[in-house]
This record gives sequence, C-alpha cells and structure tokens, in this order.
Amino acid sequence: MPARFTYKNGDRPLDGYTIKRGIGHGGFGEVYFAVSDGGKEVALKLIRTNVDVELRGIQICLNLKHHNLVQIYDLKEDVNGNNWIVMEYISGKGLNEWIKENPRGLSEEQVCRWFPQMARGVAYLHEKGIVHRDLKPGNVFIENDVVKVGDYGLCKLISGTHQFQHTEGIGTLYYMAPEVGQGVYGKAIDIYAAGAILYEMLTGQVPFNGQTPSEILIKHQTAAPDLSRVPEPYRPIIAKALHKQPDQRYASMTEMAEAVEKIGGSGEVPTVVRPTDAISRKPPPVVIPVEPKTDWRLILAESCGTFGVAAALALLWMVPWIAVEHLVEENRDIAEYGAALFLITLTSWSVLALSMVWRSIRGASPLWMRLSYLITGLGLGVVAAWLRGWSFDFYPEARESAGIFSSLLADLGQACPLPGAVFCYMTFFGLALAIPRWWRMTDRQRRKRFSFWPVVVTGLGAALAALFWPETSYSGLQSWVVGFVVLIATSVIVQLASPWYPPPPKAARAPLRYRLT
Amino acid sequence: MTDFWFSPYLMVLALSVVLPACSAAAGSGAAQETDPEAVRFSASPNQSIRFRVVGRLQTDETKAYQSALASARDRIVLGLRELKPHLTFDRLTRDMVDRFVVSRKTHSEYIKPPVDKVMYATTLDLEISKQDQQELYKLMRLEESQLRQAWLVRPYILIVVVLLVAAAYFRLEEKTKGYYTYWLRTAAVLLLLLTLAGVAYFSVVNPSVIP
Repeated sequence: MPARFTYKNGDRPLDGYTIKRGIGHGGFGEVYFAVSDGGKEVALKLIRTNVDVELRGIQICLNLKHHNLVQIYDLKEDVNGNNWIVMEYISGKGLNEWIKENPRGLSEEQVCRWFPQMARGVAYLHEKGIVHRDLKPGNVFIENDVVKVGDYGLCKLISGTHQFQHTEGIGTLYYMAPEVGQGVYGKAIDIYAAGAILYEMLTGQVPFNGQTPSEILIKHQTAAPDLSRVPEPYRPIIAKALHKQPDQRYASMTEMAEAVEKIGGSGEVPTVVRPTDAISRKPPPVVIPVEPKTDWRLILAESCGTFGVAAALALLWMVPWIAVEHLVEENRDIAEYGAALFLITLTSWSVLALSMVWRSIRGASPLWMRLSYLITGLGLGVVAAWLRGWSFDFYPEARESAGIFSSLLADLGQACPLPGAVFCYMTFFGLALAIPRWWRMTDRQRRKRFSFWPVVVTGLGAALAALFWPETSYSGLQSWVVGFVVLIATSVIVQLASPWYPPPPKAARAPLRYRLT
Repeated sequence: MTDFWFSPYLMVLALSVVLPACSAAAGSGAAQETDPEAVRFSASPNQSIRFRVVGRLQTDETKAYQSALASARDRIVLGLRELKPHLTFDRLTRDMVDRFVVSRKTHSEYIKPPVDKVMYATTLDLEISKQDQQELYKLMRLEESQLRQAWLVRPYILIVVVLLVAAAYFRLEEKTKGYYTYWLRTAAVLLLLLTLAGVAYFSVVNPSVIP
C-alpha cells in the first residue's frame, strides 16, 4: 500500500511556499515539489524521523556550493514545529533508473561522462571534511549530462576523535564498505561505495548480491568481486576501490575520478565542473533529489496507460479491417466485428497482465511462463465461445466442423460436458497463446519497440491452432480468419502498448567486445 | 325522445355491445396469424422437419403466397423460441423461409357480397433439412452473440475510458509538476461523468442504438 502524503496540492504548510505535489517518501519523511511566492521551484523535505541526525547533517552541508551537489537553500520550521529543508528542485532521472533501464549496463561513454562528475561532487564533500555515507545510485541524479549528488541526511563530519567510534550500521547494504560493520566511517567508505556504483554502472549488477542481508555483508567482507563482467580497463579501478582494506583504496575521490577520465580518452570530460567555475556556468537543470523514484502514481499511470492504449489500438485495428471487408463483402455482420474487438482487447490485456506478473518474478522458467499462457488461453477460449453465442446448455452445432481436428474434438466434446465448439475454442486459444514467447514481446529491454518477427511466429502459431477452430462462419469470410487476425493483432498491440526502455547507444555494446577478446 | 338517443346511458350500452364484438372479430382474424402451431425443433437435428401451412385469403396470388410464407415464418420462430425464449429471430426473413418451400398450391374462392371478389389462399409444404436447421441455429447463435456483446459493450467502454483518463491524468500531472492539478482533476472527472452519462443514455433512455 503506497504511503500517503501529509500535504496535498495547494497547501502552504511553510510560509512562503505552496505545495504542488508530493514527489517522494523515505525513512526520514516526505519530499514535496513546491513553489515559492516569488515563483522559485524548490523541493521541500519534511523531516519526520531522526530529526536531530538529519538536522545536524544538513546544517553541516547548508553552505556547500558545488555544481555536482544538490544545493540546500535553507532549514525552516513551520507553525506546528515540523522541520523542513528547502533545497534545489531537480527533475531528471536518478542513476538507479538509468541502470534499471539498462540492465546490461550503461555505455562506457556514459560512464566516463557521469562517474567523474559524481566523484568530483563527493570529493568536494571530502574536501570539506564530510563523508556522504549513503552513496548509491538512488542518490545520484542526472539531467542534460550534469550529475548531482543528493541526500545529505546521513552526512557526517569527519572527526579525528569520532570517525572510528560509530557502531551503528548506516547506509545501503549493496554499497556498504566492510569496515562500516566495525563502526569505521572514513571517506574510504564513500570510495568503496563509488567502486560499487562504477561496477553497477558498467554491468547493471551490484558487485555483491545475496538472498539475505547477512549474506551480502559477509560477501563485502570476504568475497572478491567478479570482474570478468567488467570491461578490461575498468577492472583495476574497481578492484582498487573495492579493496577490503581502506588504506589500499584510492587516497581520494579525485584520484579515482581521474583514473576513469583517463579511460574516457583525453582525460577531459567537458561536463565535469570544478567548484571554482560553478558560478560561471549557466544554472543547473532540474533533477529530483528524492530517494525512491518508483512512485505508485507512475506505476499506476504506466499500468493504466498500457491497458488503455492496448484497448485503443484494438479499436484502431478494427477500422481498416472493417473498411477492407466491406469492400469485399458488404453484408458482414456487426456481431463478427464486435466479437473480434472484444477478443483482441481481452487477449492483449491477458498477455500484458501475465507479462507484468512474470516481470516481477526474477529468473522464472520459460516452461512455467508457457504453462501460464496456455491456461490463460484456455480461459480465453471459453470467453470466445461465449462471445460468439455458444451456450453450455444448448449446442446444436457441436458436431459441425471445418478444421482437420475440430471434428474429432467436437466428438470428444460430445462425450464430455463441454460443448464441442467450446472445446475447440479453448484448444485454439490455448495453443495460440502457448506457442509464441509473449514475455519477450513485452520485455521492457527488448531491442526494438516493435519487431516483425514475433508477429510472424504468432501468425504461424495461429495458423497451426486454426486447425482446431470450429466452423462458425456467419457470412463471407471463413471464420477461422477471425481467430487468426485476433492473434496477429494481439502480437502487434502488446508490442506497441507495453513499456519499452530504448537500449543505450551503440557504444553501450563495447563491454561485449572486451569480453570476447 | 331525442334526448334518449343522445343520452350517455344509451351510448355506454351501445359501446358495451359493439366493442367486444369488434375485438372478438379482430381476435378471430388475428388468431390464425399469431397463434400457429410451433414447428418442433430438436437441439441435435438428426432428421428433416416437414410441415404444412395455409395462408390467409388475399386479393391476389402473390399476396396469398406472401401470407403463407409469413405464417410459415411465424411457426418456425415459435418453434425456435421454445429453444431460446429470449431471442427475437428478426433475422429470419420470408426470403429465407422461401428456401424451405417444397411445394405450393394456390386455390381461389369467390366470396359473396358484400366482398364480392375472388380471393386466393396458398398452401405450402415446407421441409427444413438438417443443414437448414443448422443454418437456423447459426442465426440464433448470431443473435445470442450480438445480445451478449451489447451487454458487454457498456462496461467495456467504461473500463477503457477510466483507464485512458487515469493514464492521461497521471502523466499530465507528472509533466505539469502539479501546476494544473485542479484543472486536470476537473477535466478527468468531467470526462468520466460524460462517459457515464453516455452509457446510461444508451442503456436506459435509448437502448435501441446499441445493436
């Protein structure tokens, strides 16, 4: 159940600012997009928990100015005594989203452009004696190639007396340096986290993964990262950054940034901005400095959009079909088109819904996926029979057949309680849905949004399944064509309607080249 | 005396005699058309069905034939309605019934004054073969299919509109960063209400629009 925001559009909990919308939740509280009375767009962070820790961290960072850091404007208290952080509003995608959209890793070009910027931002924090302590892709934001490091809630000043005394584990498990477990919080933990982020940017995977938190922690402390998946030039950098001994890692983030820049070519990355020239550059673009970007509204928007667009495309598909058929056969019955429209929509929805389910289950076996599509197809067969006027109590046409096997099935149907035609429809849709690999057609990371080949495979499957289609032609065109067209339309519609993340530019395939050599 | 003839008492008396007589006469004429013997259909046709109908007396042979066809159609529809009482069978036309005719005989008869005309009546022998019975069942299923689709179209339209409006609302709200939340919500609610009103109109006020 998604958490609700305390304030809604139009509320003014903080004098001088009008809330436009909630943009994120976190362990700390809530983040809103707001506009000041003067028209300045800001992010307002309402601190609910760990107020003292948060405020201490923020106060330290309040006057930091760096082009690669999300700027904090002010700390305020409302009439109810709630503490608010007023900060730069940023509306770009988080690095975590970029990685999610590119599960095989970002292109080397992107890595060389973005990673040094992030490292420079963190290096600036280190220069000021601050350790970020929660460096992760979710706290790094990118828009127009400018990287911004955000979330200062966990920032701590490096103190000679205290840096080895913290015992509580803070930060995100996948990026947590081994020494954190012992309460050691030097800037080396940020370098370690940066190494893990670099690994993830290049491969799409975190260096240490596991079923339980303790398994991940143990791997951080004992296991060596699998560098075989990382392009050759980056291996020593990551190996050094992820070294178990903090003193064996890079001495500074700047050093690590330079190492990555060197791989990039000239060593000059145009978008990297030094603290000193930040003022001379034009104002930064907007990026959202919030933790979780998987907003329930976006999920809802995506789901509604997918299903709605599928239905609209089904309707659109009918227009040329009806037009063409009316040229050939004027007296075609409206019931044929209605049934076809409903069947295209329902089949598309079923395929899309199943794909959503299987997408959420990692490493699902194709056999199980096929089985699920087969069962769904059987259900769709019953719906198809119902839509085409068949009844369970009355089926005088049950023995009628046109297909090669449908007469056999119809006879089988006579022997069992199902009407033969219903049995035939179930077989048709069951087979037609079990043959193609629908999960590939709806994969977010498919190479192209629309490919012709899956349509051909679906067509072949439908042609095969058409042998089981019961002859129920009302007029003109042979009735099995309706089933055939329904499946072809479904294969087109699900590809067009399901979300798609375009693959990174061609340079993204460079890691493969390294792997092969 | 004149008052008596125009008195309401006499008029009521007259109407009480004349109206039942008229309705009886009309009823006896209609009884031949609307209450024919139903053709017996079987859910699993295994043999041809033969039956005979006699049309009403008409002024010419064509009309007599058409009358006989209408009578045959009524008997077929009645028989089919025993299988599916909720269907109308409007698709079964006289032309289709014409295909079932095996033989026809028309006889003429002089009707005395006040009609004073030669009238014709046609007797038809019809045979509905197994294939023809299947065709009739197809028509039946087509109508059934259409009824089901007409029922389904309303929730379908509602669901599709709700999905599209919700998707558009969330996307636009995201794009406009909350600057137009009020207007977007108003537009979304208006669209949904309009759709609901449209569906209600075609369901309750003017349901014949949806086939």
